[in-house]
Formats: sequence, structure tokens, C-alpha cells
Amino acid sequence: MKVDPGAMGRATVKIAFLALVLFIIFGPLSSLAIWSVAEKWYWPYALPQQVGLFYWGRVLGSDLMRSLQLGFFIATVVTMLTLLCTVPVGYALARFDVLFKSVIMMLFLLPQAFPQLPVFANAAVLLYKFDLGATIPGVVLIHMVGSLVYAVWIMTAVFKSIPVEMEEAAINLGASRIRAFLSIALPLAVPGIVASSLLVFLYSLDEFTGTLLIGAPFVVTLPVFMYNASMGYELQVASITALLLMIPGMVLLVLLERYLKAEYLSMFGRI
Amino acid sequence: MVKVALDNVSKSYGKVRALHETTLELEPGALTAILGPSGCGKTTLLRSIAGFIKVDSGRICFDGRDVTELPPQERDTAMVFQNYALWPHMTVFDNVAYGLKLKKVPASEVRRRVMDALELVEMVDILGVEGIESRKPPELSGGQQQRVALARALVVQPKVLLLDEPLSNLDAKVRQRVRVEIRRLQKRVRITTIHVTHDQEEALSIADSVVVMDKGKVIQVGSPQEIYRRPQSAFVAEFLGSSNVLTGQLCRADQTISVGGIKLSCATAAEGKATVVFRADEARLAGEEAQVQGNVVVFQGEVEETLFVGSAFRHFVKIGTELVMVDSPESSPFRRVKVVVPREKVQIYPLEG
Amino acid sequence: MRRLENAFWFTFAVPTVGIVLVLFFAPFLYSAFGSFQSKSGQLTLDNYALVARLYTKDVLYTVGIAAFSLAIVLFIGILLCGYLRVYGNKLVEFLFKIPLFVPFVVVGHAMRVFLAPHGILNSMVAQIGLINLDNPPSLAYSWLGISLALAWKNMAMAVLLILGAFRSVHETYLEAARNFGAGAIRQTLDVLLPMSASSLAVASVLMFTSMLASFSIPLMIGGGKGAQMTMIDVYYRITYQGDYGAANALGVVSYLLASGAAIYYLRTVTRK
Repeated sequence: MKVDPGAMGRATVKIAFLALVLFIIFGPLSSLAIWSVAEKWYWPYALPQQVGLFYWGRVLGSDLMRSLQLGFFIATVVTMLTLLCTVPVGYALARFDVLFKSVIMMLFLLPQAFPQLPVFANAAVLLYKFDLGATIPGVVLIHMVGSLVYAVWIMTAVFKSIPVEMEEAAINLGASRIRAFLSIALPLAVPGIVASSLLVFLYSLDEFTGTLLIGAPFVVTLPVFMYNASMGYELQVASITALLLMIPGMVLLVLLERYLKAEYLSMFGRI
Repeated sequence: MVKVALDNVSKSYGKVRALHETTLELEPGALTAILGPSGCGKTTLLRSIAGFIKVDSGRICFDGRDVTELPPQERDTAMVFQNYALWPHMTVFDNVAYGLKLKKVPASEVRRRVMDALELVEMVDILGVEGIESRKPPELSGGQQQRVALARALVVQPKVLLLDEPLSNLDAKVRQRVRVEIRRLQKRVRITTIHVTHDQEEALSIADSVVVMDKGKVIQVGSPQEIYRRPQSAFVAEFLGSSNVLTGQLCRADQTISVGGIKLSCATAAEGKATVVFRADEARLAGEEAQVQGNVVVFQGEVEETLFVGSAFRHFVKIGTELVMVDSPESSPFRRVKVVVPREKVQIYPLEG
Repeated sequence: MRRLENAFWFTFAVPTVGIVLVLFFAPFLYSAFGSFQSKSGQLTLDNYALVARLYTKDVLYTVGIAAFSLAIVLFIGILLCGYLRVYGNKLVEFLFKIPLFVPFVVVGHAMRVFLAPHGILNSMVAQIGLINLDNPPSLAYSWLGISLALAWKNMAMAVLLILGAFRSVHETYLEAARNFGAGAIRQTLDVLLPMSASSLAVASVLMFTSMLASFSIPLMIGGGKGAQMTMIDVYYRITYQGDYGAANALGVVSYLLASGAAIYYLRTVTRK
């Protein structure tokens, strides 16, 4: 094997490029890690003078744990309800000429294209009228607006990708439509359903705008908790919370990496 | 005119050996067809010559110059792709001119050479100058796209022209015509041309020389007539046409081979299984009782099925446990038949190992 | 039988459509009507007059920031995806997916401490002597900070969408160009970009509207004074002044800004 004189140069460029990418991606995130262990950090020092896990101990014994539990509870409920609603609807939209099909599809597209905040602010007024303001059901409902819109599209795509002939073969042999759905389409859709429920779960866990408008001050999930801490200049507390908030997303990213479908994610990026 | 030589070239994808110690010399100025079933390594061979694939070992030389490590653009090869790969957002003119623009050829010369190339493939008359400057590839027919793709390759005056199954996306009728045109064009420009195909008829009709490949290896090289008339292995014989392949048992002691219930004399130094091959159109059928004379091989069999295939009737005849095809102009009136093959048309290949 | 089956599927559609209708479309229409009502419920255009007087600058500021972020994202995204498409680099591709899974609030907070006057970025730049920390420039609490944070968060989406579009361009189109000596940049600009122009346009529209509507990021790193992103104005108008009329008028303006983009997006998506 000959030694290529250009190879060294190319390797250097490649390493420099990788370093730049690492800096762009992890630079902002690294400040969270540093702040989370900074017990004493005053200007003009570039790094904290005193490093330790003091704040971690304090935070983990605080309200944060309650917010964490609450967030997981809400996310679980939202995911289950969303699945229950969207699996049949996605199937119907993929398979049948449902009445007003294009209108329904449009209905589930528009929320993705318009700003959420002004809408949610008015939805909050509505929810308060029904005594759902600052309650867990209220927050679940507002999370479901976003997750339904997103999940209907994924489910429709999932069922569209399953060849209709598979079910027709079953119906041809005497199965009813519903039986064909339960024994053929549903099992084949499982990977797509799992992927989308993970994404819905994460969406609910990370949702901020709706939770802030409807949940405050009694329903405080982790993102709202972090926002309060950051605004109160409790930078250590906020940074630790931020790190905790990132964990589910990172786990999911690694999990999905193998069968990550771009079209599912592209919608996720917006909400 | 450039001589292309491959010396011990190997390429693997993981455990799959796409090219295995391939050594090959291609005549300058000739059209060489590389023929083989899909997955035989022919496309890998072509793309290695183009420089899109880095080979694992071995050397590729153009006129003695080692190009193995050179990137595609420094090899002076031009490729015509199976799907033509004409950029759909550029006009016909821009497509053809692209290579020249990258070479920083002055605009006036670009224009002249683009028009010359399109003239060569007879597209100027079809589209007109205006059409060339305004039409985009998706608006053209398959055959027209094919010509534009050829013009785009030829305009840079390559030393080696590479054709990757260029006819496979065309209708059967158009394919016949374009085949003739490619042949004529190649004779005119005399660029060393490598034409990859899985269509044996196309390879035989178009090429000066045919290379048959299987499982990453070159099986046989020769003129189309040689390849067709004297296949050197059962694989080539079978691949090149409607051939019958029977399994026989060689016997060194009495210099014979047992096949289909008969014994043939056969000079052999080997013992064990062998493949016996003859072509469907070189055998004929005779009634069970018929007297057959001459230096021929005769099998006894039963006609199981007769199909009309247009040019002939194809009989499927059961000989012992094996089924052979025999083509003849008339449907055989007999059920129990003799399959008669001239002795010199029966090829025997000892099985390796 | 047929009717029974239809009823079965319809049962599931009711809550799904119902929630979206009641909690998205009703408030959406309500905010539109509310923008034409005074506090006492009379029809009026006062809210819009107020918005024009107080928030014209903010609307322009918002559009400017979204456009600037989009420019950053597209510039880096196209070059990066061209590189990834031509040469491939699994690690870099994976790294650029990370921001997609970092919640908006976390991005806001991280950028706040990263870009602060004495934040990590300034500290690092000061180490190599480019700036003086006694008088540090502040990227956080400025339009540039918001733009960078938005660009960072949207870069993942951009890479996902652009790379997806680039990947759908068949390899032979690139090889045909490489055959003539086109390098990665030429292949990107001459072949990949024009051949995926329509997908890129949709991606740009998506990102532009989501940046216009961004709330949590500017909420965390926007400045207390000076121009604000419109969503922040809407939020403050409601929480601090309880002025739903003006907030809704501003909301309608933001719908209109998004709708140009939304119509284009809808047309492309529904055409399929």
C-alpha cells in the first residue's frame, strides 16, 4: 500500500470538520452540563471555581420529581388515548373513501401550518369555562390537539404502506372487514404504531406552550418547571432539569436510529 | 484508440465477490460486449473501469498507463447509463454541454462541439436547433433520450466509451433499431467501447468480441461466432441459447460416457460426472421405428408437450428422468420418438471437483 | 352490514375530529372574531389600529429573524447535505439529528447560558483573544441570538428533509456529472439542488412558518426591551394586560403571515 501524500491533509481536514460539527452540536449543550455541576462560578473565570454534585442532590429531592412523575403520567395517558383515536381513523382514511375525506385531511393539516400560541390562548379561555383550566384533564386535552394531528398523518401513512391485497385475500377467504383489520393490517402496522406512539409520548413530555397556558400554575410539567427555574436565574436547577429533559429524546433517537423514517420525523420537528 | 487491460482485478462487497481475479485485454477501437446474468459482476467490471468503484486489488491500464487509482474524470472515459441519467432540469443542449463547460472549453467551441455530437447521433434533424436549446429530456422519447445520452458521452471525446445496458429501457422494436445505430456509430468513431448486457442476442449481434462472465469470473472470451458455436463450458452453452443440459457419467476404463440411457464413446482422462450439452435447434425428432444413419447420437424418449413458439414447434421430450427441448418446423406426429443429434454438435464438459 | 361497519369506524372518528374541532378550530375562529371586538363586545377595528401602532416594527422584526435563520439553515443545510449525499458520513448525519430531539425550552435555556455575555461561547472566544471579556458582546437577548438558536433547532429538520430529497436523486445522475469531473460542490449545485428544488421549497416553507410562530425560544433568550417576536407580544398582551382583543388581532396577523406559506404547503401536500 502506497502512502498518499494527500491522505494526511485530507485526514486533517476531516478531523477539523468533525471537530466543528461536534462544537456546533454539543457547544450549546455542554453549557448545560457545566452549569449543572457548578457550585461556585463567578465572572471572570472561564470554568466554575467549585465543581460538585450539590445541586443535583438538592434538585432531585425537590418539586422536580413531582413534575417528572406528573409529566410521565400525562404523557402515558395522552399516548394511549391518541392511539385509541388515531389507529382506526388512520386506517379508515387509508382504506375507504370516507365522506369529506379531503376536508378531514385538511382539518389535520392546518394546525401544522398555523401558529399555535394564539389558538391555544383562546382554547385556554374555553377550557377555563368548562372548569378544565389548570387541571390535568385540561392539559391532556391540549396535548392531544397536537398529538392527534400528528398521529393521524403517520397512521394513515403506515396503513397506506400495507398492500391492500393482503386484507383482500383475507376478506376473499371469508373474513369480515373488521376481522381482516384486526388479524392482518393491525399486526403489520405494529412497527409504525410503536414508532409513532414513542414520538407522541415524547411530544407530550416536551410540550411547553400549551402546558404553560392551560396548566399553570397547578399543573407543572418538567418543561414548565425548567422555564420557571431559568427565568428565576436558578441556572443550576434549570440546567439539571434541562439535562433530565433531554434524556428521553436521546434514548428515543438512538432507538429509532435503526428504523428512523424521515417522513414521520419531519412532522415531529414542527410541534 | 486505447487498449484497455485488466490485470488480476478483484472487488468484494462484504462476503460477496463481485469480481474475482479478472484478467482481460480489450482490443483498441473494438466494441466488446460483456455478457452475463444479473449479479455476474459485469456492471462492477464496467464501473471499475469508469472509476466509480475502487477495486480491492489488481491493476487497470489504458494503453499501458495505470489508471487504477485515478478518479473518474481523469480517466477519459465516458459512460452511458442504463437509465440515461440525463439531468431533467437542463435542456438537451445544457446536458450535452455540461462536460465541456467543466473542462472550461470556450463558449463558441462548446456550441460547435455540442452540435457536432448531436449531429453524429442524428438528433439535430429531429429536434432542430431551437428544440435542442429549449427541450428537456423528460419531453423526449426513450430512443431520443438514448441518443442524447450518447451525444453527452461522445462530446468530451473519451478514449473509452462505456455502455451500461443502454438498450434495456427501450421497447423491443426501438431496441432493434438503436442497436444497429450504436454499431454503426461505433464503427465510425472507432472509440474503444465496452457494452454491458444480459441479452445474448444483443451481445452477439453488436460486438466485435464477447466476454462471458459468471459469479465474478470471466468464463470465455471470443468472437460472437466462436462463443456461439464453440462454447467452452456448460454455463456458456446454456446461457447463449436454447440448449439442453444433461448429466452423464464418464468412464475412463472404456472411454465412454453414459447419458440418457445410452453410451457414447468419448476420449476422457477424467472419471465421474459430466455435463452433456446440445442445442434445441440442432437436434431433430424421428419416429421410434425410424432408421437413423450417420455419425449421430440417438436418444429414446417420449414427447410430453409441444408448444408453438412462432419460428418453430418446441417439443419437450422426456429422456429417462431428464427433459430436453427439440425445435422443429413441424409438430411431431409421434409420441414415442428418437432424438437425433449430430455427434459433433454434442459437447461434453467434465464437472470440476 | 355495510352500514354497521361504517358506524364502527365513525365512532372512532368522532372524538378525534371533535377534539381538533373544539380545541383548535373553534379557538382559531374565536380569535379571528375576537380581534374585531372591543372589551365591551362591540364590533371595532381598534385592535388592528393598536397593532399597527405598537407592533408593526415587531412584525417586521419577526419576519426578518425567520428569514435570516432560514438563510443560515438553508446555506449550511444544502452544503452539508451535498457533502453527506456525495461522500456519506454516518456520524455527522447522526449528530445533526440530535437537535430534533432536544425540546424547544431546553434549546432556549442552553442557548441562553451558551450565548450570554459571560457564557461559554464568549469565554472560549476570549481564550484565543478575539474579544475582551470586560466589555463582552452579547448574542443572547439579541436578534442574532434568537436567529442562531432557531437555526440550531431547525438545522436537524433541514438536514432530514434536504438529505431525504437529495437521496431520492438517483446515483447515476451524480455519476454522470462525476464522470465529467464535477466535484461535490458542483454535483450539489448543478444536479442535486435543481433536481430537488420543489422538495426544498416545501421544506423552506415549513421551517419559515415554524420560525415565525416560535414562542419558547424567543421567550427564553429574547431581550426584555426593544423589538420582540410577535408570539411574545401575544403572550405578554394576554398575561400582563389581559387584552385579548389586541392579542387576537396580532394573532390574526401571524395567521396571515403563515397562511401564504401554508397555502403553498397545503397545495403541494394535497397534490400527492
